[in-house]
Amino acid sequence: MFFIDSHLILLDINAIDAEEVICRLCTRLEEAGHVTCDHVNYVLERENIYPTGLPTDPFCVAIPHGEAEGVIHSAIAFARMQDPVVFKNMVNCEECLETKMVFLLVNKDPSEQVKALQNLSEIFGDPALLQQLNEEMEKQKVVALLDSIINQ
Amino acid sequence: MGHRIVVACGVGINTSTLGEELIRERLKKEGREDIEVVHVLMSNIEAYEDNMDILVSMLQVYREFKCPVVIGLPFLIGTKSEKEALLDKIMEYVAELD
Repeated sequence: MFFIDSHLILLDINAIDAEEVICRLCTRLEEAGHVTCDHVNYVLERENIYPTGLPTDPFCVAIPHGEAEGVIHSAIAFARMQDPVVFKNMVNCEECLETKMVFLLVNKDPSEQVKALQNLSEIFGDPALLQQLNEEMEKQKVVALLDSIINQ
Repeated sequence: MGHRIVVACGVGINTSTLGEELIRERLKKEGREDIEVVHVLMSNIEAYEDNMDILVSMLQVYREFKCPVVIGLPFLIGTKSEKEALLDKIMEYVAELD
C-alpha cells in the first residue's frame, strides 16, 4: 500500500534539473513523515549512476527511487512539470530525456517493488492515461487516479 | 540440454523481474515451462553468456552476444500490444532453439 495525498503532488512546477525535482518531492515526503531526511541522498545517488528516465509516449516520465533505507511508510509523490526537465534515459544513460512527469516511489517493503512497477507500467503504456494525468487540474483527482492504479 | 532465457537490468533487479514474470507467464501458456528464465545484473553478464540462449536486456546493449538479444523496455513502458509483440518475438526465438 503506497500512501498518496495532495501534499505529495506538485503540479505544473518548474525546476532547473532532475536533482531539484527529486529534492522537492523528498522534502514533501519528509514533511509528511514518510521518509527520514537522508532518504533523498539514496535517491539522488541512484539517479546519478542508474538513471530512471523513460522514453514514454506522448512525453517522457521518470521513476526516481532509492532502496528501503530511510523509508518510514511506503508512499508515492508526483510532480508534473510546466517546462520539461532533463532526466537521463534508464535504457541508454547518455541520452537526455525531456521529462514531463516524475513519479517518486518510496518503498518500505522490497517484496512490493515489482508489483508497484507493474502497476505504474499500466500508466506508462497508456498514452491516453498519461494525457489525462497531464491535463487534470485538480490535485484531488490526480490523487484519486494515481491511488487507483498504484494500489490495485 | 535445457534452454535458458536471461533477463538483465542495470540495478535493483526489479525491472528485470518484471520482464521475467511476463516471459514465464507466456512460456507457461505455450507449454514451454522447460525453458529456464533467470534475472541478472548486466554487470554479471559474463558469468552467463556462454549459458544463455536468449538475452532480454533492460539496458541498451553495446556489444555482440552469441545469442539473440532483445530490448525489454516494452515490458516497463509498452502498450499491451507492444508487450505482446515483444513476447511473440521471444517465442519466435524459443521456437528456433529446438
